[in-house]
Amino acid sequence: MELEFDKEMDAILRKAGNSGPKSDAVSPHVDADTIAAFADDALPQKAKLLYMQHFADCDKCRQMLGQTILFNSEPSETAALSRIAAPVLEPRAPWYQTLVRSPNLALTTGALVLVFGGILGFLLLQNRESDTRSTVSQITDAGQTKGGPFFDHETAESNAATESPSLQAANQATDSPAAASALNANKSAATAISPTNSNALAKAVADDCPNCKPADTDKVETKENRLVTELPLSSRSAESIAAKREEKNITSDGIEADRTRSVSSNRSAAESGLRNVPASPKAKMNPARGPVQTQSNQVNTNVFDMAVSRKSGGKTFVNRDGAWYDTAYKNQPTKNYRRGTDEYKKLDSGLRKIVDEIGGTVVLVWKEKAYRIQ
Amino acid sequence: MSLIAEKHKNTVAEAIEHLISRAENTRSLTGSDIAGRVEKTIVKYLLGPDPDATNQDIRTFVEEIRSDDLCLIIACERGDEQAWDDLVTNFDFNVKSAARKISSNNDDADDLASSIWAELYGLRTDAEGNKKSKLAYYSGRGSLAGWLRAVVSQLAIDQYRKQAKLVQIEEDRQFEIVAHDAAETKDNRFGTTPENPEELFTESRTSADVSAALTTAIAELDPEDRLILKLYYFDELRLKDLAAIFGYHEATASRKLTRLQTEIRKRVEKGLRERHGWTESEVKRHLSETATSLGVNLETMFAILLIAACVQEVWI
Repeated sequence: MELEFDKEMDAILRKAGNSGPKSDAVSPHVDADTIAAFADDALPQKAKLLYMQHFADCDKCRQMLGQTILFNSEPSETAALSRIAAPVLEPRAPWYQTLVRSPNLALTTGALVLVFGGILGFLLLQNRESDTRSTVSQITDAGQTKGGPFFDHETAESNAATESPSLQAANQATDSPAAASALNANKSAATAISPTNSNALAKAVADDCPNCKPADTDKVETKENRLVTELPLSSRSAESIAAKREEKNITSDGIEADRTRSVSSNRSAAESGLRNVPASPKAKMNPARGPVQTQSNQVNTNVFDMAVSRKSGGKTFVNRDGAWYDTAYKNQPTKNYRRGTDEYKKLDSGLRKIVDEIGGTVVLVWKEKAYRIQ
Repeated sequence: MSLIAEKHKNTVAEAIEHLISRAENTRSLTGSDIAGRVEKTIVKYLLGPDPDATNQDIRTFVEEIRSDDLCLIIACERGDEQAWDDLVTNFDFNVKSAARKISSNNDDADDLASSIWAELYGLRTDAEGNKKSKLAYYSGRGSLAGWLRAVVSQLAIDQYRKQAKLVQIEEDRQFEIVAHDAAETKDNRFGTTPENPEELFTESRTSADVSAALTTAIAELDPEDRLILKLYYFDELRLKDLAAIFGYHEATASRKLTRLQTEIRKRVEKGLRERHGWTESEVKRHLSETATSLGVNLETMFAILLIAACVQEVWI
């Protein structure tokens, strides 16, 4: 039966040749005479077998044998030319030998290592800054100037559901001078909105929004009028603003303070280990991200902060309720397996290795599927 | 004192006399001048591995010794100037040719060739003041040209290893650092960010397991098969060269290699399943992926570096 040339194994073996471990035989190295005699197939059979064993196990001697054989396989015509003039042969070192002998390689390698290191470091810094920047941008969003060119009315309306009007006013009062000046700059535009104009505007809105109830238009009207009525904000006394602040206990991080208080007031309901836990650093940094955090979320965040985590196979696992949960797990349905069963053994070896390393009950996501292994 | 057992002495003596008579130019040597060398060779290559060798085996063995080359070398050892002239004239090309193949430039090649001749001439002396020369190790079994090439190869490797130990060659250190980083942390991928940690983990495990299974499979082969495999894949010998040293036809060498590939595959697959816990589908899939893996690997990376170095040299 004629066997076919195995291209896959050929490629794998060639790669192994370039990167395989080196080995030296236990027996003494052979001399040049033995190498030459072996290369010329000039040894008796038993001696040949003996030295074959050595060459098979000793990389150094085998390399010398290989080189000698390559030298020997040179065409014989070149020997005839030697009497006349020795031609200058170009060195035929393999490309990887040429590589390591290049005198400029050190400089080039060093420069490239520095460049790549710099690029990676820059990317890492950028990622960190973008995290903090998104937090800063969320905080500054709350301070957008009403009526300014970039003021988002819709967002302001949704935020109004969670903010009391006085809080809004107080925040506006504590805006930066730039914001205050922007507010003042819009005075002229706002005062130009007379009740007549505002009614026309409300009608225009109603035309655009046929399903809007009259109350909505009122809201619009109110909003427009708010500009008028709130314009004199700057003229309100600082004392009244301060009084408002004290009343509602609002600071520049007012929302944060409210949340922290709600956490502390619910500590008795939390687990005992959380009694004196300070607010999570994450919560402090992202006070206004998404919907208002509920108490349970806040508690769970603290639990995560304190939970033991483990890493395996590039995945991070956190301990929760007596099981290890992959951070990529998002409460999707899981396939359940028990260790040692036939079905478990059919799973990917990479998955099984991770599960074995973590131990216990493990819930993980592997190739977009969730598994629970017990 | 003779190294040959009594029962073989007569046979050896006759064979040596016949060897001298075969030589075209004995260089004034007699049987007794070369007897010591021939007896050592018989013990080393025949009676040592095979104590039960017969007288006929001894005759055949001595018959295959290259008499002219042996006489030339022994005459050189004895200080025969004409013999030295003949040696250098006829074989300097072989030495320089081999030296140029090993060295990176002509200067290094000439230095290496000079070192070879110095070693052969025996510029070093032993405790008794006798010259220590590599000529004393030539047995005459292999060709003199082949022996000289083997000496060049041996000396070059010894010199390179000494230099590598004494001098921290910065290029090699950089190579090792980068190769180590690439192999240990990024699995021969340099400058890429894995998108899927599962894939990265699987790839690194795959490579390690295949490498381990391959090493075990190769170690389990017969010595001849193992040597053929290593000479072909690790030392990049051609089938023709393999056939020449093992004494068979090139087609036979090709069939042997194909058989070895099949054998290795079976052993590797078995090892991956039994020792590393792979499933059947994983074995088939990952072996195929390992063979055809793409991406920026270390060889490609250094090819790029080589091009950059060449460009730099051109600019400078």
